[in-house]
Amino acid sequence: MRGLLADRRARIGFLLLGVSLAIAFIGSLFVHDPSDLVAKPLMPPSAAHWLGTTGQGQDVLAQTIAGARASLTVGFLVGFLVVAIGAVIGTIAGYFGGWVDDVLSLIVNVFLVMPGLPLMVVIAAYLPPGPGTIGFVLVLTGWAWTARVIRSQALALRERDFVHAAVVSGESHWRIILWEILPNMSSLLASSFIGAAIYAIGAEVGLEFLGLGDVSQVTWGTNLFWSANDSALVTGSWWTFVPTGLAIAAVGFALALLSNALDELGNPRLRGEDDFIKRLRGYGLRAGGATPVLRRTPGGAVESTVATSTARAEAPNGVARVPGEPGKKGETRVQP
Amino acid sequence: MTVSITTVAPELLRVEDLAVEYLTPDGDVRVVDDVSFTIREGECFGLAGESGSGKSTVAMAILRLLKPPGVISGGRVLWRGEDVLDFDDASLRAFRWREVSLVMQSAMNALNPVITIGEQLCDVILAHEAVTPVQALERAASLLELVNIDSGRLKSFPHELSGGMRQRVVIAMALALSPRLMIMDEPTTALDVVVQREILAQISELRAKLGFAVLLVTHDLSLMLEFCTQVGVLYAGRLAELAPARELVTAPKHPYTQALLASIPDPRRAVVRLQGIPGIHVDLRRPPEGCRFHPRCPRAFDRCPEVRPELTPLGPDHLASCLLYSTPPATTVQS
Amino acid sequence: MKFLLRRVGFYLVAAWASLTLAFFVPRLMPGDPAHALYARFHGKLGPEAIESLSKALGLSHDPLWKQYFGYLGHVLRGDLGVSVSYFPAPVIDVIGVALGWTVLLTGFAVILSFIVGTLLGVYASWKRNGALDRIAPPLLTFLSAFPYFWLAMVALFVGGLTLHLFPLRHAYADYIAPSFSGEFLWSVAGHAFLPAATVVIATLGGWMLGMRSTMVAVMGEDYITLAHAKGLTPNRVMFRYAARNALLPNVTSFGMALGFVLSGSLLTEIIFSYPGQGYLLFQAVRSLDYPLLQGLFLTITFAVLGANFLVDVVYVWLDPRAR
Repeated sequence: MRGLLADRRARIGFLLLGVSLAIAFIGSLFVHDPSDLVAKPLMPPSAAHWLGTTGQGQDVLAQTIAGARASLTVGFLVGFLVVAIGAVIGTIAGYFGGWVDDVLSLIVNVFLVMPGLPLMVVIAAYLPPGPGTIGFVLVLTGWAWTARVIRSQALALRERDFVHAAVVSGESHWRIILWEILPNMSSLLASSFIGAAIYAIGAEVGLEFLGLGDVSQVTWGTNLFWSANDSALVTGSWWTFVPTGLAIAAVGFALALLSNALDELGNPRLRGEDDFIKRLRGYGLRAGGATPVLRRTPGGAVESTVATSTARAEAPNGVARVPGEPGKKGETRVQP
Repeated sequence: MTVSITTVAPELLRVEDLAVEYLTPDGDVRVVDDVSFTIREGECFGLAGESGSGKSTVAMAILRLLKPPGVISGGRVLWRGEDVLDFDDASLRAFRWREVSLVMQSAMNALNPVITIGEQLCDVILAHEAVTPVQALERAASLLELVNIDSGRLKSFPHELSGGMRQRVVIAMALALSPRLMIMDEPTTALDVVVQREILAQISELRAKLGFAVLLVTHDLSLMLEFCTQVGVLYAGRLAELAPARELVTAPKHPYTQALLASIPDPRRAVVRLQGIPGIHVDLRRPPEGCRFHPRCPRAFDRCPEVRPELTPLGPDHLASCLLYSTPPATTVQS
Repeated sequence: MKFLLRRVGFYLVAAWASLTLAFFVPRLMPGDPAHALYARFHGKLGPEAIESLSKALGLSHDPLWKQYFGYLGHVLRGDLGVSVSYFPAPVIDVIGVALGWTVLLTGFAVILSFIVGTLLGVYASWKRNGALDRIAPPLLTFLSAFPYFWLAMVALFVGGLTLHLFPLRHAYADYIAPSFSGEFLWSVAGHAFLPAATVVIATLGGWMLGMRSTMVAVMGEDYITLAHAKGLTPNRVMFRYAARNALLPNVTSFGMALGFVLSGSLLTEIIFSYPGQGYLLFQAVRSLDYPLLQGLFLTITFAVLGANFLVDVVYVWLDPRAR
């Protein structure tokens, strides 16, 4: 966790997410009830209503905040369910292999290849509108991706020595899965959760925009539905859809930053290479097809030529003279 | 089979005090420390050492092919008088392959899997010489014939060939521009023993015919002693000993070399007791002070942890860096 | 070849699964589906319409398995029933034209996005930490965090309503008759510009990051080192050696992402009243035109399966090891 916070992107992501959650859950205390008709419809932002009013005369700010609550709750809940189901199926398939894997993989792949929206629409159209229906179809179309990712990891972990050792020493399969395999997938599970939440929020908004959610509820998706329904575009009332979109993007972006940071945490080589490239640029060098030559001049006097303080320009032949620590010949371990 | 050379063959490659570092976020690690040696025309020079000794690093540094985060942090690499380390990108490209070519360890990974053998042979010819694609293809075909591969294989993809064939393709490719020096980095390690023999015999044959020099990097000492005329032994990034191959076997001077040779089991003996080298190998982030081998050396004495040994001449073309042979106070570490 | 045959087999299984799903989903409604249908539409539809609705859904008093095979038979003959909102037009006709427009718009947008995104990824990875590599990924990631259709709303608002640069709706100007004339084609292009641009902007980031990531992985391979050692030009190493190999996993993920991208694109069509499958879907949901909904589900799913197969063919062409 500490490593995660060290990454600047992760910090931005956490901050953004934290602020969004705070606004969503606490902000509602400070605004009108979103369903209240508070003023004339389609009024642009003003001091009284910071984000203006909707086509029905409701406060856009209140709606955006209320929508955040609803959509984020569904999004994270569905994300959790998706990962839970996907992880269970993926681990079983990857760990047990054989025909179990063949059958489960076939099911996973079929669900993966089928496009989500038409399936969700067709099912949701037959069920009563509401968050339950939405949640159900989201989980139904979302679990397969996580299952596939987890399966690969479980497959790889299964071949590792510590698992072999556990098998040989007679541990039951379920204990192995629970105590050996799953803990080693923790960062993968975390980033899968984030990915699933992103997917869930986006898909939920899409479905509700189509009109498949309960349009009397206030969610981000229904906000956009009503905005389009009330001809926002024709009347030029951009404030009825822009705030919701920005809010969705803010949360989505925050989650994406966290997800990227998590991925890199599991792949430390990437960070090392980035640091190396940055250092070289500091010396005016470029990493590429030729190994750079970096000469450290021993002795007290600083001898700087080519690329040092002034030159941001690249040394054309990848050679830079850098003042180095005077040290025992050959024994220098220079700190950057 | 060794190629006999006159001792006055001109110098081809002179490596002087080469130093290589890896710049990591946790600190800079010096993996090659002041390595110097010379390769003459037509010679077969071997670089021996355990894994982690820096031998592959030295070989790659000559062509400036080290992967990030490697940098060359000191020394000179003189190719027929010019310092490769000062070359600009264009000169380096011209130098590469035409003067010095490379045969890497695993041929499967050395060949681009999605283009044909023919294209891979031709593109290097076309990159360096002003010939037509047809001419390049003809040359590619004759290169394959050199290594006993049917020229129909020009249209094949790497995965369609066997391991041994792929390695021969890589060798053929290395000869495409008739280089003066071929660097071979563990060329046979990934192959089975029979194919190993074949490949090396092939290389000897080609050397006899074409007269190029070879820098052979390997951890297989017995192989090296059979094919090379001059050998350098690396330990923990430093040269322990440099000697003609014959002399290295009959009269090794450095304790490390002696231990290495002693560890080669003789299959002709009735009972073989395996002899290793005690201790663990060096962590280059925290190398021992003074001589890097002293913690494992059976002949270490009090000055070994304090003074870094220099390469001391012990005979014609024979040098060793061990305090047993160097005269005391004059050679102290500069501070 | 074996690879392709296996894939065809898989797609057939997936197609069958979709058909079967479409068959059982209407029977999810509580109670007797026929009654429920009647109750829902009584007063809104004439008896012939309700009749054809039942037929389209394969509802009858036959045993379930007979209904199932009857239904399969109908679908395979192209009989998807009669649309309720476009009564009495057969569903297949209603969908037919729309399918063409969707394929045109989405196909073009998605291919363009992939090509541009891939090239950006190649350049970003080559000049690691360069300007492109530092700016484009976060920017594009941010843009892909917006729902496609929201970007469409903004695009329409800015490009169409405010700047009056682009038309606001439909696939071509109403007063031009469809033909292959320059005037018509230009009108089509103009109308497709904003929706296509929306899809491209929303998806570019994904392809770019994907390609960049595979390029970085490939550049650590030995054959790249050897390519440099051969003294080849940086361009040749970058494209013929690195990118050519790094492309392969991205083609695979392109196939996997198609369904997802299509979904977003369908929603985008709604904003522009673009007469494709998405717009039809919207209509069908509003009027609860079940035969049309089912028909759309099947055609969209089959289209994605078909597109996936094409991607597989391209993959086999690109990777000699798959042959």
